Amino acid sequence: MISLIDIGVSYAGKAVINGLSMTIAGGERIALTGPSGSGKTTVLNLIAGLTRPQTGKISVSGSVSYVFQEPRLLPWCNALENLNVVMSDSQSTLPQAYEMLRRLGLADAEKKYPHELSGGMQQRLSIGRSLCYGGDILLLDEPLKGMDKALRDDIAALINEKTIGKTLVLASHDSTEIDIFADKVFAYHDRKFEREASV
Amino acid sequence: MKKLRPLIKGIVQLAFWLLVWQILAVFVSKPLLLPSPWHVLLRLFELMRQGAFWGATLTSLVRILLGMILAVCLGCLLAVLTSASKILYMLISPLLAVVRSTPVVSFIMLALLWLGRDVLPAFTAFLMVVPVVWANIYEGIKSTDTDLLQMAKVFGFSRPRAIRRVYAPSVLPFFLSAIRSAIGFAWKAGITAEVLTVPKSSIGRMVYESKLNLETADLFAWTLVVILCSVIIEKLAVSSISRLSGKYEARSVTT
Repeated sequence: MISLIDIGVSYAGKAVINGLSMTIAGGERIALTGPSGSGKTTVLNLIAGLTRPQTGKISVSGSVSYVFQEPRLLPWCNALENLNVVMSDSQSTLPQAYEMLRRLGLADAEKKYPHELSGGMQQRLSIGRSLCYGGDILLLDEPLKGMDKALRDDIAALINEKTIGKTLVLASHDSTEIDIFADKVFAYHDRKFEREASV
Repeated sequence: MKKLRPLIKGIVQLAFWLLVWQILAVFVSKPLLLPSPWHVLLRLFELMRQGAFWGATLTSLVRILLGMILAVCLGCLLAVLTSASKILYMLISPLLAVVRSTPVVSFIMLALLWLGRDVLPAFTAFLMVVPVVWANIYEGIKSTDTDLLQMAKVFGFSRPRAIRRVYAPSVLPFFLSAIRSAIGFAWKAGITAEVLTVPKSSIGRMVYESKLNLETADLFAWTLVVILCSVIIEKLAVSSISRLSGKYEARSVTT
């Protein structure tokens, strides 16, 4: 369960979020939609504990996994290590990391470093890392951005398969992504995210 | 061929400056003022056949390296502490800035009142290196990518894992740069201290005595020893650190 009560966030004196309240029940799959700059990523960062609100109260029960908008891979670790590092970071979880690479279609890239991978491959690896970590809540920030249709379908299926029964919060303005992942939508209206009818 | 290119370049550079030196020596034609490179090299080989040469070189080497190693340890520790605490940074950074901008001779003269002449070169090297190492490592820690630190936080990295997987590889290029500068600083400061305090069996004493006896070729030969020691130690230190954590440096440079 995620609960945000009367949250206010401002950067350099400028309010980004003001008086936001929302409750997401365990196992819900919701999407935050709105134009660029509406604060979708900030809400994800609040849930992940990366941004502290100036006002209000946040309560998150369960561990959080996050697919950031940009891959944020460790440049000095190869593809396999980038997955394994969020598990045990030892030999014991290497088979799981390798299996994830295979599911991502990156089995041939296990020894490659991030700078040797294309942007799309890096994004897939970032998704795989979040799925390897597990967690009770998965935050997704435009996860399928820049992927072609066939790849989108495969990766979306993998995400849905690995997050059955888990809470999922998606930030996106792409209707396809919202259709794939979310049951409910919080849309941005009048500087606030408001719950809409089910998708 | 590509691998040989830096070697050929180095040989050409060396040959060019040796030629300039030789021309100047011929032009001056007074070995007391400027001995020729050949003369200096011959003198160096003569010195190398004497036991005192190796004694002095080894003593200076151990002394200065000891000061430098202690300084690297303290510099790293201070960098970690000051990057973790703003109060410590506020207290310690002005002191290190003062040490960095004070002429080495002032410290040597002052330290002569407190310390024995055998300890002073190591202390001087130590004092000159601490701020250099601190500044580099502090900058490395502070410039660690915040995106990666956030990633480590979200995925629950323990402190040791965050240090091993995020901080250490980020700081490594700064550490190597610190070591490179530290070796140069340590040698220059250490030998200067030896020249001013003339401890028993030291390169500094040899430099001082060469100057006193107007043995200019010896002075050049000993200076050559200092340069060679500095270059060899730097190469050894940097290559062994790079080998220990080679891929970290390679990746952090290429990305």
